[in-house]
Amino acid sequence: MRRLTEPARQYFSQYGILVWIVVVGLVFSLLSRRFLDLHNLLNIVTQSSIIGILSVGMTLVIITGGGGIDLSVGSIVGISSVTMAMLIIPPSYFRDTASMLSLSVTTMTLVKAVGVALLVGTACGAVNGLFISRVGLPPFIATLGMMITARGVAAYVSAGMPTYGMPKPIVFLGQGRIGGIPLPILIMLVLGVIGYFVLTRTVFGASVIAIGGNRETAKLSGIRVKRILLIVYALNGLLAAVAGIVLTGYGNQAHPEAGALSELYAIGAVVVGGTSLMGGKGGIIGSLLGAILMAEVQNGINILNIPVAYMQPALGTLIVLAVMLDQWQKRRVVSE
Amino acid sequence: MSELKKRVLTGAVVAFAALLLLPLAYAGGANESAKKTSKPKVAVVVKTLTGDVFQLKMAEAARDRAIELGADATIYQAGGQTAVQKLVSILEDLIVQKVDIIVVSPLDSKAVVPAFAEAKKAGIVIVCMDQTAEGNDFVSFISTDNYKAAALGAEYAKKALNGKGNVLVVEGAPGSSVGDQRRDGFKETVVKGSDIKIVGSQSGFWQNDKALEAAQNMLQANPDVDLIFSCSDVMVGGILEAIKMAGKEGTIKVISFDGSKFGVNLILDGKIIADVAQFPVKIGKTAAETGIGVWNKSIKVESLARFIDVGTTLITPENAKSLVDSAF
Amino acid sequence: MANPAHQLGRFTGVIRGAAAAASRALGIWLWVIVFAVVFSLISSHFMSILNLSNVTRQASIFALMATGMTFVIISGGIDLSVGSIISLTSAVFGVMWKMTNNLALSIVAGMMVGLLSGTTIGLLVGFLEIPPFIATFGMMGVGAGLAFAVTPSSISGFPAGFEFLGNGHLFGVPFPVIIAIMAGVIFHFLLRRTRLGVHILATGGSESSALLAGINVRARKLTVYVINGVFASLAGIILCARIRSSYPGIGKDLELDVIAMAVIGGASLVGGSGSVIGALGGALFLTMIQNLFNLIGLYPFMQKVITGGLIVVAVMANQSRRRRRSQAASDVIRASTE
Repeated sequence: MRRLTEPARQYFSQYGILVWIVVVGLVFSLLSRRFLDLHNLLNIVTQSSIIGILSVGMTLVIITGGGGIDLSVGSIVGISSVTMAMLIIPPSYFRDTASMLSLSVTTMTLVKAVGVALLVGTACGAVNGLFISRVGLPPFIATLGMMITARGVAAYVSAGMPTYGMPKPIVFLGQGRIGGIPLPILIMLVLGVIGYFVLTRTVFGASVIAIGGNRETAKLSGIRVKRILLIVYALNGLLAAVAGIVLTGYGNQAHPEAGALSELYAIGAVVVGGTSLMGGKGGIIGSLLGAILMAEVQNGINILNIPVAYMQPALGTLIVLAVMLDQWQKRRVVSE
Repeated sequence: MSELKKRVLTGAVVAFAALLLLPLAYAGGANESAKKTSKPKVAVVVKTLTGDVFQLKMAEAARDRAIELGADATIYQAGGQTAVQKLVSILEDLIVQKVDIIVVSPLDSKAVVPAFAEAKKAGIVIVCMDQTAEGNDFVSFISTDNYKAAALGAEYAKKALNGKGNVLVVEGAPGSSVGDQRRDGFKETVVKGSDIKIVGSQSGFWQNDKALEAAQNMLQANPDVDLIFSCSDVMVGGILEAIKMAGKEGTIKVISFDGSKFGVNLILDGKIIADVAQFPVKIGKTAAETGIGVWNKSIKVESLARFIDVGTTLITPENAKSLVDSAF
Repeated sequence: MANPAHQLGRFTGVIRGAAAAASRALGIWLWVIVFAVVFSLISSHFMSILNLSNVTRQASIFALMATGMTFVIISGGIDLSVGSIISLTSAVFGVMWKMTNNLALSIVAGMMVGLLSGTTIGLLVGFLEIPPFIATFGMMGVGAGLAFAVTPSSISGFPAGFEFLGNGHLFGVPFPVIIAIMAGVIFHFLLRRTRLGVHILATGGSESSALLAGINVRARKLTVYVINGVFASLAGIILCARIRSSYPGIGKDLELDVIAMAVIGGASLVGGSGSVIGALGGALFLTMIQNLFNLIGLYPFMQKVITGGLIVVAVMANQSRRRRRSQAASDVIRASTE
């Protein structure tokens, strides 16, 4: 019997978070008949996909260790959202209604707008990377500075106002489906798979892990630490911009405050998923699962009509318990 | 990076930072010279300018009207829906700056009382807009009655549903008294004398995306919903998306609050059935006029009403066309 | 007799040496002084007694929080929950007052919030080895949500005497400033001159070495989070005194400011070093900047951009100074072993 359950237990000890997702799901489905239907489950994963996309890049950032973290992703979501919108909407429309609902947009305009938005995100990430790798600024501070600054620029660029009614292709990115699966989920999965592949099967990924494990050793073995750090943070910025565009399509609205606080949830998802803040080890899959768990809790609370004042404590407590369980599991496996 | 390069870089960044501060010297200078020409200095203070078009338009209206009336006016923001501590700091710094008039949306009725007392002692005229404060240190409060306004929306909802049905409410952010008043005004009125049930009420945090998720999840829990009330236009876009994604477009009526151009256009497009209009532009203008009037004694404080209700209108498909241009 | 170029070089060398020495000794305070001078040129109101009183008063609340945070960061941790703990403290304090009308009891209740939360976090981090980010992130959610559950709206009616705690003066110095300076001095001494302080520094520097040296790492970690919790609650009570009311959302988003202040003051996020005096300076630095923005009415959207940039600059400047010192130290070590 033990031999049969052994691989399962090994798997679960590695992905204790999966256990939690199931347990929480069971509890909610007992409390509400409306929880466990396909439509809601799809909703949960869709609602998790923005944090999920952010957590892919954040996993890489945190693995690089040495305090590696990126607090600016939320603001990059915001700035890419409004950059894209501002490049599409003509000033007169913006003045009158800030709505693009009746605007027809050429493909060229759209491509340019999205391209610039992605570029802005990457640039923000690259600036982070430069300050961290070349100037030696602590990642917390460098990305905190970027977080504040980018938010300010986003507010300035959009005059503090949201823009409604995105062009159809953008809305499709956020609300469309392919083969019955919502597009945000597909995008999250694709990016997750690419991230997993990069991290586990490429030299680049191995270098990232090595840097997180022991920076000095990595440098001595010829890894170009500074360049890799720059790339990791720039990539993170790019992914945050992608999340920003998907989010804009999902809500059909571009907003300077978009993504506020999402950096904390992304980091939370990554750590809950098993990646160590010390660096050197972790996994993309765990991070995605972490994002799903958080969306699940939020969803359940809304469905059960629990007052919002209890949502944050529930989420917070659950995250701590999830990590506790995970660590207890790991210790048990080690001692066996 | 070599030591020398680092030092040069630090020096360059410091110099750049200093350059950034230079324009402030001019801004500061402009403010100072204004005092000497005895134009009144007006400070417009709101809780946030981003993500809250109502506050933004109200603040801009107050500032522009003050400038029209010959004053120097600047907008200040606390930077968040609950940033009480920053708001109080702004008020204290305004007293140091020796402004003449403060037009403020206090964010909380109690927290600003000590700061208001100091300002009054310094001879500053204080006008409250949108949100009132406790005590007597301000000369007037200009707003609309959020509770009564939401009740208007509730009456329309009762009519639209023929007195029967399931209703969802998407609330504002916790801690927002304006949001609480709107929510209570709607909820308490809509169930009175009707068979209407409120089957869900969750916070949309005044954010489109959060409102979308809240509405989505509430619709999941309650497949049989007839009407959704949104406490603000900033959230109604997301709510409509949630309805669309639940495949319920056209079967659920939506009533919103604010009366922004976005909301009125939604009525014209047939996407929502009503929008309770507040008039942030009118509020801001009246507040500025009141403040300056009291300051230059053209308005007698004794004859000034404590509460000036700028009024609300319920915008419906019948009157939407005529009101769209004046919407904010 | 000496050629003029050589003289000039000697002269600038002396200036640079003096600047370096001042920078080393004063750290962030050098910047505070420099910026104060610059600010007073930009706005004539900046140096007025009233404004200095305001700024230091506003900063003192953050100074208290930054002091506690410095301890946490030195130990190798971080605390994201301070803002929420302030909110919860405010809420509990207010509700207790509404129920009992007893000021002392209400203050005790409020302080208990910080004590309990700090203890909980300390146990999670020190004994259960939960990463500080997660433990305090969780507590942040708990604190913020519970604050609104305890009381969804603000509470007032406190006696006039209570306001003195936040807005009063003693010999012309704002009362909270006196509290902040006293706490700063005591805890600076605690950090540098007591065994507890040395142990905390060692724990943050290298946990394994500290363990080998026989330091009770777990207890030390518990201690720093309790200290931080108590400081947060204290700051919360003083804030309530300033606004003479309690407000359940009052602490929102303050934690990042506090962490930035501690780091600007010299605390290193990898643990093992930090300065209480520096934290006080960091608190004053960031508060001054906001104060100047308010005095001149700077365009709101510009404020964030400049603040973000200045934080980076301030840390960079402190950074290169610290790096030069440790670089010099390692140079010496390397030289002596060759």
